[in-house]
Amino acid sequence: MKPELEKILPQVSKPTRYLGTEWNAIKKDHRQVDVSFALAFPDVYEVGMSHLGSKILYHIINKRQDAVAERVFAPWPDMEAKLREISLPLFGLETGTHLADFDMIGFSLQYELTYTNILNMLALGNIPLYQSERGLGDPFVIAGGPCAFNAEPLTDFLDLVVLGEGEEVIGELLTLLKEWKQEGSGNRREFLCSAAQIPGVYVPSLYRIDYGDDGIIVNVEPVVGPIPPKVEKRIVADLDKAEFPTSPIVPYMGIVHDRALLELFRGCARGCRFCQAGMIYRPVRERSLGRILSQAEELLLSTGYPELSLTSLSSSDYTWIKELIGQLKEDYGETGLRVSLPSLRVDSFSVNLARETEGLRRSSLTLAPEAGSQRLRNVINKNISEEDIAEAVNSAVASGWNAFKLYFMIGLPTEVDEDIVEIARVAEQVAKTRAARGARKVRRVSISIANFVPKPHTPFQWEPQVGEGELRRRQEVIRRGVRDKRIIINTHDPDSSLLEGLFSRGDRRLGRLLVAAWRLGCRFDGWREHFNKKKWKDAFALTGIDPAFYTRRRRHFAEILPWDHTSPGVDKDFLQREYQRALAGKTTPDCSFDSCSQCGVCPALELPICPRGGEEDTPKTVG
Amino acid sequence: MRFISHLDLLRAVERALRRAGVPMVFSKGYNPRPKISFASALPVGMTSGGEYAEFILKHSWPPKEFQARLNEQLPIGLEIVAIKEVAYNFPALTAVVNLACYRINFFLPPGVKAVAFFATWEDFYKQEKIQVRRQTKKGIRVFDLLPHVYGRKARLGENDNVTLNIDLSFGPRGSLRPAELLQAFWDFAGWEGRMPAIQREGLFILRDDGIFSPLEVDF
Ligand code: SF4
Repeated sequence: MKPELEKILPQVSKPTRYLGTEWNAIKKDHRQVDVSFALAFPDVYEVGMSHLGSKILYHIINKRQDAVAERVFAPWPDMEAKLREISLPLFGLETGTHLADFDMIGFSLQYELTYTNILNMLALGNIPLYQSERGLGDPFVIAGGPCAFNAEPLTDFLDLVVLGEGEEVIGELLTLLKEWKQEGSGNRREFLCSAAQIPGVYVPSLYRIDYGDDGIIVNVEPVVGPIPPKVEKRIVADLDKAEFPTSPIVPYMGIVHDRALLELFRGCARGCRFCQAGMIYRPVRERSLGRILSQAEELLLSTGYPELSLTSLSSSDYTWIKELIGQLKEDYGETGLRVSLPSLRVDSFSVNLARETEGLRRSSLTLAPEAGSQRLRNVINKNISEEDIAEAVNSAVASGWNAFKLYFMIGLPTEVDEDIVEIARVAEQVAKTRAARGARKVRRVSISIANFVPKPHTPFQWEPQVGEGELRRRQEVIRRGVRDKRIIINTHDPDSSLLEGLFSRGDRRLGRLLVAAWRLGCRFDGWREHFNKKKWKDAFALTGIDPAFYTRRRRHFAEILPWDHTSPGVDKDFLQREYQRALAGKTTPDCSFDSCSQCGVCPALELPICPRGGEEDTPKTVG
Repeated sequence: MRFISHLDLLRAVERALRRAGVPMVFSKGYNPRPKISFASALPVGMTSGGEYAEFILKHSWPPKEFQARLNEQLPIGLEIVAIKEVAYNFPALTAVVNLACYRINFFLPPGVKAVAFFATWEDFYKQEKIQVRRQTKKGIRVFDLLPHVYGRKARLGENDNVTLNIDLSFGPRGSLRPAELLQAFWDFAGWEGRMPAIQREGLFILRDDGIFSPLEVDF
């Protein structure tokens, strides 16, 4: 460890965040490789280390003989102060190599409220903030992840953006980078133009955006030669062939998801209309049961984790979920292994799965009805009924659960007070549940009320977002509607939801707002204790940017949206159809179990319609 | 290994045991955990020259193999240096360990000469009684620290660096913390002393017939 670091670590909170010596961490000599990559996560260590995508890329890059990947996270404010105090530039955790000495820095864009951290990390790494100011010897700064599907607010700072799944693209990029370095021209533009030829790679500086007098985009076009006018995302068609990290790093400190992660499938075709993940990760691709079991074995052996999490967007939808859980219990039950299912459907089938895996270890069962009234659930295409909720809760109470966590949203399109009071009613209903025999009762129901944020590439991308004041009033409506003392209400801060919405659907002109806010000291905006409304207000005033233009305006169907030239494969027509069906209260079935709803993704990616399943195709039964 | 808390250490050892495939006995209940107990949790901020832990296995395993297999799986900075197989009825380490040895390093307080320092250090122990006030859950406890001090050596190193080696009583039947001793000393001397780095060198069993490491005794 560097002596400077050794000196400051005793003075900061949670120093193990910065050690870089965790089990399975890979340390390589930078002189022995051709290209170096910093996997940058713009949030604190505990959050970043829980992210599966970063683990996958770490594994893929380090598997190459000619490349090295190191991790870097946003330093917590106390550490930032120390770094600045002793002028130590931000560094890769494994070898302490300065960020500026990497060839490429890749940020993971999971959440809009981490954007100021990106600027801060670049500054702490002594890297020119603006991509236009970078030159010979400076790293390329790239990004990927869900927010890459509208990275426009960050385009001032990014050299390129990867759309979709990175497993294959990262290798192609690194090979190109290596060739470019060897060739030695040092011409960055040349590299970026070649990179733009890789499918899934978007180079923002190669596109010109024109705005009309009303501030709305009138034209988007490539500024040079053969650059695709619209960049389509990349995916891995066969998950069984995809690289998967079976020896991930095992942190010393407790992190958010402190367990071994297995990925059952990607994508989710349930079609919830508010859900960006459901749109951008399509189509559904499952990993085979055999493959998952062998990965489980390797993972447990290499990490020593006592817990295995079966992750996916809707894990209980996995075709062989029962078989998988049964087999895991048989193989590892004796070692005290815990299996957890993070995303449960609202039905008794899922509750039974939860009982099988976790028994009563977990104190509460989490369900996400999302909206209180049936009318509104139809609008958002959350295809569950009140009976489904009752049935799920009944069977949970009968199995001994006495605490529930329910997720809802407010501010959804077409929402009126009648829909909101239903949230309170559903919560009271759950609290009243009793087991048929015996005196089993519900002890606690906590309801989490999130604020709906319209996201790009979803059917609600044209919708105005509900304002702060109105969101507060709606929160109050729920509070007034809940009488039962066992119900605990958790709400989210409307101001930070509006800020999230601003960057979610923002355009390139927001770059200077980010710089202004960051200069004023904004960091970790997604953390309640760090979010500073006043500073953001000042940043709006300084830049003259009106957030309402982005968040509160109903956009016209014909409008060119800032993200239209980057595509997850889902057609804009489909989104518009879905929007209209939403207004009409019509639901659309899941294409995995029903007919294709023509979202366009399969043809766009040249895949057969809904390639669900692995090798052992058995008929699907839905619980 | 520095900077990791006792909880981190426990977690790291548990995971290493799982990777090594050691046939551990697990606790019952919602959260089965392998049965390991450390003789004592290392206080935050202190470094350690060595810790003792007991591992309860399902069946007897060659100690050398246990040591080798586990060392392969332990992160850098953690190592099993010695091992001994004991019967299941061997008393818990926490109950028998009663002496802790510490090494403390610091620079002479500004303006204090070495001769004066060592003279004061000796005078300190010539007091009849040295009262310590300790905040406990049940209120403030006042006691004499002298009977708790079993060994005390002070050495002068280079650049006015002082090393203290102190052996203090430890464990449920009475203990003195090194910081308490040091604070009482600074108060006695009337110097502005800072709390220096403290290393716990080891834990021992003090009996009428001598001082032993937990690996040396039989019960
Ligand atoms: S194209 Fe059809 S089958 Fe494929 S994901 Fe879209 S709706 Fe489903």
